[in-house]
Amino acid sequence: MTTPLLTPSTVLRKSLDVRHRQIGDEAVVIRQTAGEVLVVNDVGGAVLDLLDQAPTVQALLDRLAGQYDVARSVLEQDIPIYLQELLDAGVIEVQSS
Amino acid sequence: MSFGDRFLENPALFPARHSGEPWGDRTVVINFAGGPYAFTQLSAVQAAAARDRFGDLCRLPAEQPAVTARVFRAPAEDFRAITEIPWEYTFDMDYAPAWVRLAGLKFMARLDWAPELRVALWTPEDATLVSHGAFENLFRVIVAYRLLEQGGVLLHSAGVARAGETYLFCGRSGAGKSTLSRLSLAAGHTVLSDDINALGPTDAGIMVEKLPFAGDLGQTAAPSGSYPVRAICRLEKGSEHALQRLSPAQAVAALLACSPFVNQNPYRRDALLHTLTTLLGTIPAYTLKFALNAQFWDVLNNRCANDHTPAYPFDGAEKKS
Repeated sequence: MTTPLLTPSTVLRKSLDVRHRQIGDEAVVIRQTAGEVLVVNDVGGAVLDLLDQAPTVQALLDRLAGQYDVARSVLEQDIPIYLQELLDAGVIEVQSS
Repeated sequence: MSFGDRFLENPALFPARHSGEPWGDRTVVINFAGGPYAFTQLSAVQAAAARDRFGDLCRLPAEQPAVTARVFRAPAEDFRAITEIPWEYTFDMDYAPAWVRLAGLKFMARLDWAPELRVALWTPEDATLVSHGAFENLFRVIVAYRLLEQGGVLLHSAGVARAGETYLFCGRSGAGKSTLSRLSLAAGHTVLSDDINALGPTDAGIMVEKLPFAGDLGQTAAPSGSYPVRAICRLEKGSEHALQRLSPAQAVAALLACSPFVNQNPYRRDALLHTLTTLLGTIPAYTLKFALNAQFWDVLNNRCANDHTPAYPFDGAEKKS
């Protein structure tokens, strides 16, 4: 699937038909229109939780850096890849590049 | 396509109220999980076909129904002429907080909560209402919503009872439910249904109830009634049998994916999640990799014997969004 290149200023949002619920250290994600149910890890759940308040990639990284005891450089390497996976799965979408 | 476009000549004329010309004055009351269910205003032919189909589950009309479905005539011209009827098809559904609308092959129906569940069916089918599937298609939807009201759920699953314990093997079409059911029958176990079962609370705990709906295997000889549930397994085809516990989220997701009709309704999502987490608070859940032979029972015996830990060990409300 072709998806836009993510930059620090890319604005993301949860896809309109997606709802999620945190259960333990994972989250159940429902894509209502597609009739799909997914399970994402705690980072995926945190991203979905944070998107309303921190919709840019940069803001997400800032918030996640405050939540996880992980080096910033690791987050900057891993999170865009994970966001791309969520984009490919239709869980999140780009609101503006 | 919009709701009804595939099946109705003019979806905009979908009935807004439970009104129309009754087919007749016959009533059939059918009782199983969530029931009794009364179908009223049937013609004599429709009623006879329903009684023939549901047999011993039929009750005297005097019994107070939990849900009543009224059946109305609809002109054949209201429905699109579809000459090639697929063996399996999905009908259209449309949702609002207080109603659900359905449109399918030669039928349209609506479920309304005011506040109790009431149902109306419009169809041009008389002698073929039951044999062509419209009756049962609607009936499954009614049962799914009725069970949810009662804290239960309709599950796409094979239900197998063995030595007083029942296992539910969940999976969509093609997951191996019917094959597993045939192997279980051959091994002398009791198969409730190879396609769809009810799971819900009773005075005796969480029970599986046999439903009169089946898949490729057809109706089995298992007696109607409730069976104590031992475990739920999400079925996956594999090259060799393997059993692995599901995480709480995986267990909820597995049941959510196998809860037909209600899992597509955005207005019932929270109720369904609450029901599933409650049910999973007492039942272990696994993924079973299934290699299409009967040896899977050995894996279940070894792995499940001393495992009674429920799949959902939380007691508080989980965060939602």
